[in-house]
Amino acid sequence: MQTYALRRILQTIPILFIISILLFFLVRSAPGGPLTAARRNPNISKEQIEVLEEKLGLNDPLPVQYGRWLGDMFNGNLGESIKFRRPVSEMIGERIPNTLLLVGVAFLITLMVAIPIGILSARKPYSLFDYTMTTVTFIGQSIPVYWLGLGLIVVFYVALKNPFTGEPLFPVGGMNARGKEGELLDTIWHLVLPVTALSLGWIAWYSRFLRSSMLDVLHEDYVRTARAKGLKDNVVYYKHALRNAILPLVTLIALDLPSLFAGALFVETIFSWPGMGRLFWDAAKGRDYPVLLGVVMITAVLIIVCNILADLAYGWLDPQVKYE
Amino acid sequence: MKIKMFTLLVILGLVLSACSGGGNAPATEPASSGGGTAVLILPEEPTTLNYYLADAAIVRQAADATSMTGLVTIDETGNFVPTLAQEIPTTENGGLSSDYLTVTWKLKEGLKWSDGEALTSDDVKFTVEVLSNPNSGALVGTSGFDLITKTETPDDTTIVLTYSEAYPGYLDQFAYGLFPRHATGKPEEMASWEWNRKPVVAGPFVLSSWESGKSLSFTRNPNYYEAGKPYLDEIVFEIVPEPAAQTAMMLNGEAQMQLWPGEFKADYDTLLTGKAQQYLIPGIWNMAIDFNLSAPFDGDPTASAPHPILGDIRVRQAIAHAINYQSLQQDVLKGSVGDSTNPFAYGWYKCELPRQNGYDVEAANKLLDEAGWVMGDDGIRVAKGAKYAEDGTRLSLELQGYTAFDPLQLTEEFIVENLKAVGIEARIQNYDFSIIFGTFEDNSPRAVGDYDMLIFDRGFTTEPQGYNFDAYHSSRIPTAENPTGGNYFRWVNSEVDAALEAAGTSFDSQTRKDAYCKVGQAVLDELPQVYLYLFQDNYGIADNLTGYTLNTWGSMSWGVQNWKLK
Repeated sequence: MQTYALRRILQTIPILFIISILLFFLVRSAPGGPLTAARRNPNISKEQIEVLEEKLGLNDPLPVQYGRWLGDMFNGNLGESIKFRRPVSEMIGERIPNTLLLVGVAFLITLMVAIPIGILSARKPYSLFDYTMTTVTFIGQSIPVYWLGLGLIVVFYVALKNPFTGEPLFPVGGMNARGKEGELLDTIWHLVLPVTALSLGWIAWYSRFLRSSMLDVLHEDYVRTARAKGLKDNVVYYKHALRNAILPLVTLIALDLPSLFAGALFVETIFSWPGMGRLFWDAAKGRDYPVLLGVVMITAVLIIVCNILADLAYGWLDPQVKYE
Repeated sequence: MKIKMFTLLVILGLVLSACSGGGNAPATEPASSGGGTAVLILPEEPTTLNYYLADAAIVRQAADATSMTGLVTIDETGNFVPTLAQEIPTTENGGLSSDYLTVTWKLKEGLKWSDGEALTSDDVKFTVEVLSNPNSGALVGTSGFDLITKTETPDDTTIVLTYSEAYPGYLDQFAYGLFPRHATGKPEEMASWEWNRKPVVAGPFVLSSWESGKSLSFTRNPNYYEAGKPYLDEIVFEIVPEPAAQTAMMLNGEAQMQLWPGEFKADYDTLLTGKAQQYLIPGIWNMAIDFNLSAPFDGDPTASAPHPILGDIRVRQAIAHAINYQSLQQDVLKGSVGDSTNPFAYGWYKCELPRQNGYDVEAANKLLDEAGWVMGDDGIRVAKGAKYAEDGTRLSLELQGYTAFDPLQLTEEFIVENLKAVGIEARIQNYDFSIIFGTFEDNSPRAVGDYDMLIFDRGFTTEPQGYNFDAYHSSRIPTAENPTGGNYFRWVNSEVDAALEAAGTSFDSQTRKDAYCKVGQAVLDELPQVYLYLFQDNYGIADNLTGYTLNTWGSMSWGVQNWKLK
């Protein structure tokens, strides 16, 4: 197991190298550049833009620029934002905790809600509960998160007011009210709407997945054997069936885990949440190459790490899996 | 789309709210006049508080409240008024020498920076040192500083500047803020000064916290030069990217000013009755269709060969006649824009020139008939004896624009309909912003001359010479040897060249204006482009905010020292 883990980690080095080449040239192949907005600005002369282009090294051949960027990365330096003139690592460092909080809470709530729904639906398929949940999850899967977010604002910020204070039931966005930075209760209050918007779709998707996975497993011979032995229902479901049914879910979770860091662009935008999704989007729009590359490289690393973790988790959950 | 959906949702919300019996208590307690906090909504985060490093208009929205108090400012009428300076240096008061080569500035007495240090003539000298340094990294506001050959400071409040040549923009260059020598750094390292994100300022407000991606908070500058001002204790810029969320905040009274609301004024005012209104002021963005006067796709970016269709002025006149300007401005864009006939549509150089080829379908048809374009079976004209086009050529032109800007797309669709009515086919071809405004090296269509018609908005500021010389002078036609040229029409007119040269060397604003209006008139006569409308800047302003001034030359926070909450 340790050798397997070590081998997988060593394998990531060439993979990351190839990814870095692909990402660099992909990002640079998009039309325009960080100075496109400046070219449109009537206050900026073309000569000044040329000076800046030269200064930023944007006129050098792409392989040279790639080499410089790679060199910086080896030194643990993600470079400096062209727009903000700040270290990229600092900008990413500010956003990661915010995104972890928002997406992490949404993820936990998703698991806490989706897994029981999936199991209960599978235990009594085609029951009233199952039909209700099927309907609800289909709605949850179909509503675009964008629409849902706006709808939540309209209902809980515009329409419904706290009957005692007359203030909106929930805030329209942000992480804290002014002057309440870092207060836990206030943060929770600010999390309610974005987490709801984010987790509804996930809950629908995960619970449907677990339900069908569970139903498959329940028809297996060993479950019938367990029942024939006279085991209690709960033991059959939770000890024998669930452990097998949850395996495919682990893959799904592992694939979704990187979004804990990558952020959720739509929800972050609608609820003014300063997370990684918005940082990425703003950098992409402004062609702020160092920020853009920093964010995508970190996401790439996380995807690889999460994949390794998922493979290791498989072995822990399923003793049949052997690492060779 | 988004906006309409939000409006519908809000109406639904208001109905819900009425049913639940809530929503009758005011969301914010009105503060007493003077004091209090005003919240301003920005759609994106300013990248810096150093105006000279700004590549986009968003920076100034916040910087105007803090670091942009200079020797003078430009008020809402377009005139220079003194701020840190005692008066405007002119030839009458001796501040400007009769040969225009020496400018003497007098600072007000007892000025202080926000940290309590004295603000002296040496800080002005330092500002000149920074902005004249070619390696400062400054993007904007450096014009004319290279002409200053000597800066003398005989005492703490006097600065004497000597210029190598007369510079008409000698006031404008000191309208965007000073740098404190003691709290910044080396001129050549300006781009990385800590000051850029935590400036020591002369303006009304001082940054107290900058939360990346969330908000910028400012408290009043106790050392602000105007006694008793600013009236407010605090202003906060909240970064709210979603337009619907911004409007919702205005609806709940959580913000006092919203930059560039997405809704049209009529819809906005209805939705926010009793809470806020939208205000429009003329902006600087002037929408026009540019014509390529030279043959496209011939591998030759110069003006040598005429455009087969647009080379004939009668076709351009017909296009100008075919457009229903009134309906475009009032019906399609719901009055959110103003009329504009020529490049000089605002500012001290504004030229009131009537539209010579106004909406007249009959005239358009007549011109096209005369020009040898006969109506084809499918309603599109075909060449039969046209000036440059071979017989049988369809009167079909590409209309290029840029993507993801609703007003532009609405305009394009309307123009296509208008042109179709006179037998001209216009094919919309929109590209990403970065392609339309790309460089010659990137093969941007307008730069290499491979386009028929191009529609976009363009603008310039109080000093119009640089932009207009670049856009209209025949020496500025972009070619491989001259890749940065901005005469994308490939327009050659010696009278225009002469007028532009005259405007660039004169010191008298009336003479300069007359020269610019000559250019404007030539644009109307020869139609290298057709002006459609002038965008207006729009702001949503809460009813409880008073004392604000909307200024084309400033930003949302210009004059924030006079704001009060009622």
